Amino acid sequence: MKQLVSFLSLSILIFLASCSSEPDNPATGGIPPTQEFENGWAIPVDEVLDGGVGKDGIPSIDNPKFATIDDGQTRPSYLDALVVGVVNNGKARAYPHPILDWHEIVNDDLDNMSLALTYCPLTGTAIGWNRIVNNGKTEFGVSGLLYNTNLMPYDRVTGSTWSQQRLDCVNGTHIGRKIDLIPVVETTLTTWLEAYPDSEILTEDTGFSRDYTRYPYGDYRTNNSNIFFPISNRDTRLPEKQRVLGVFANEGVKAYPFSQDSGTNLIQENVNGVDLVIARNTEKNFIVAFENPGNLTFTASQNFPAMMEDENGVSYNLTGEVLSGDGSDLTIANSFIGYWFSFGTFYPDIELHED
Amino acid sequence: MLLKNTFTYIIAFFLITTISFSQTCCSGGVPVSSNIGFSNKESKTLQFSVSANFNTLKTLYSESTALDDDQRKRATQSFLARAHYSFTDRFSMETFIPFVRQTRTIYSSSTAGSVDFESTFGIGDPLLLASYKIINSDFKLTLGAGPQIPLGAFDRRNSNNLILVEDLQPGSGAWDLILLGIADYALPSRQSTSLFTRVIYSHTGENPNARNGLQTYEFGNDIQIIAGLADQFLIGTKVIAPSLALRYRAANNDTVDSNDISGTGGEWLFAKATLGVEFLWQSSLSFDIELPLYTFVNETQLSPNSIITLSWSKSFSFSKNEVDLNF
Repeated sequence: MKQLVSFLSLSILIFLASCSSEPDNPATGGIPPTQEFENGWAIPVDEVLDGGVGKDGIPSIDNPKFATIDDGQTRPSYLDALVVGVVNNGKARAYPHPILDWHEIVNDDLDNMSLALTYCPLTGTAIGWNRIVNNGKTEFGVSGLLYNTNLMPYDRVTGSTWSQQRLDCVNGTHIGRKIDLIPVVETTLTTWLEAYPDSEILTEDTGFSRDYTRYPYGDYRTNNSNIFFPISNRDTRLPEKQRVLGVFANEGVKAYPFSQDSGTNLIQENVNGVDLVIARNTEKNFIVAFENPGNLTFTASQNFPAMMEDENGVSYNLTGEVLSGDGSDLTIANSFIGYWFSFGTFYPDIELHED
Repeated sequence: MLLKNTFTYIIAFFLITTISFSQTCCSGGVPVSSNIGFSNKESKTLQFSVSANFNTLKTLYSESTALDDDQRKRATQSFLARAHYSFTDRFSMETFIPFVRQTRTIYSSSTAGSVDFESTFGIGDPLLLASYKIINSDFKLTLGAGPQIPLGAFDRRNSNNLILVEDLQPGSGAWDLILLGIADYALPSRQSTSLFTRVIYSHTGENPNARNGLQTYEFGNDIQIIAGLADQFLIGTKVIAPSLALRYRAANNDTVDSNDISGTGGEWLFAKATLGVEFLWQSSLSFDIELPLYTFVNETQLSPNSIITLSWSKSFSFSKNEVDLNF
C-alpha cells in the first residue's frame, strides 16, 4: 500500500511538472529560451536592481516629433552623433543618441509599423521592438529596473517587465515571450543622411525639459572600468566599452568589432547554419549584418551610399535596399550594436570574430 | 589683542578645514551633519533633544539650471534623538540616533494618473561624537570627532522583493568619520549676540556589501559650513533665540567600485532661519527652515526645495549651579 501511495504521489508530481505553463513563445532566431520562473521571474531576482530613478522616472517619448535636416531643427552637433535608423516602406527615421540618452524609449508609428525604439545608455544597445504584442498594441516605458546593468522596459498594457538585451519578457503576463525584433542600423547622422537625405530626425520637442547638449553619465562611454551595476559575467577579450555588432544565428551569437581597414569591408560566412554578409566601415561608423540565403558573393563598394554589390551587379545601400540593378532587398539579420561587456555578460558563449 | 587673536583663530580654523577636507553625499539623506553640535554647557550637564526634519526635493536641476519638470519628488523625513553630556566645561560626548523615512514618488505623464511610490523606514546610522572646547572666552572654539556607525539597513527591498537603490536605504553600510568645528564669538557690545561658524566634515567609508554583496558603494565625502548671527533676548520670562545663517554644502560624487556615479554630488547654498524659545523646566522648542539660494548639482538630479526642522530639547544640570540657558 505504501508503495502504491508513493508511486501515485510521484506520478502526480511528474504530471504536474510536465503540465507547468508553457509560455507562448514566438522565438526570435538564436535567442536562448527562457528556462526558469522562480518567484515569478525568469531571471534571478537578486540580479534585478532598482536603478534609482523609479518607474517612468526616465520618461519615454510617446508623441515623437520629427523634422528633416532642411527644417533646421536638428543641432549641427548631431551630425557627428550616433543615431539609430529605421526604414519602413521607403520612409526613414533617425533617432539621435543625445535624445535617447535621456528617454531610452520612443514609442513610434512609422507607416504601418508600431515601433518601440529602446536604447540603454549603460550597455549601448539600441533595439527596435514591435509594439504589437499578442495581437494587441502596447506602449513601453522605462521600469527603472536594471538586469546586468541593462534597460528593463515594461509594457503599459499588462505591466510586464522585459529584459532588453535578453530579448524577452522576464516578469508578468508575458513572461517567456520573445520580443519581435525590428531591424535598426546604428551610425552617425551624417552617414545616415548620405543614405537617406530626406530622413526624418527625432526632434528635441519631446515634451520634456532636458539639456540635450549634455551627456548624462560622465565618462561612462569611455571608462572601461566604470560599469554602474553588477554583471553576471565579465569577458575580457575586448575592452568593456568597445562597440560590437552582435549577430544572432540559430542557437548562437557572434560578435563583430569594427574593422581596422579603411573603407567598407565585407565578411561573408556561415554562422551556425546561417549564411551572412557583414558590412563594416569604421570611417562612416557602421556595422550591418544581412542574411544571405542565396549565398550570393558580394564585393564592397567605395561609392557610398552604395555599400556593396552582388555578383549580378546589384547595388545595395546601408539597410540592404537595392539601389541599382535587378534584385531583391536584403534582410537585416537579427542583430544590434552594444558595448562588448554587455554581450559578454548576457551571452557568455558568444563567439568573437577576429580579423 | 583679544580681537586680533580671535581673528587669527577664525582664519586658521577656516584654512585647516578648507585644506584638509574634501567633499560629500546626496542631498536627500539623513541630516546628521546639520543637526549635530550642541553648544557645550557647564560641566555635568545632560541635554536631550528630539527633532523632526523634513527635507523635500522636487526641483530637477541640470547643473545650476532648474528644469521645467515636476514629475518626481523625493522626501526624507528624519526623527532624530540626541543626547549630549558635558563631563567638564570643555569636554563633552554626544550621540545621535536617526530614524529615517525615505520616499520616492514619480508622477508619470505617460500613464495618466499613475504614481510610482517607494518608501523605506528604519533606524539610520547613529553617530558618536566627542568634542573639546579648546578656547573658552568671548571667542569659543570647539573641535569634535567621532564615528557614524553602520547600524542602519542598506538592503531594504520593495514590495516586489527587489533591493532598493542606496539613497532610499536607511543606512549606508559604511563607517564614516565626522569632524566638527564650532566657533562662537560674543560681540563685546552685546554679549547675548554672537557670530557663529560651524564646519562639519563627513569622511565617508565604503560599503563592500552593497547590491547583494556584488559591489562596493561609497557616498561622497561632504563638507558643510554654517555661518551666521545669533541673538538671545527676554520676552517676559521666556528667552527668545533667533538666528540667521547661511549654510554651504559641497558633496563629492558617490562612487561604485571606485568609479564616480553621475547624478550625485554638487554644491548648495541655503539661507537658514531659526527661532528658539525656552520654556520652563529648562526645556526649549526651536523651528528651523532652510531655503536654497544657489544650487549646482553634478549632471542632473533633484535638489532640495525646503528643509524644515522642529526640535524640542531639555537640559539637566547635575552641578551645584543649576542655572542654565538651553541655547
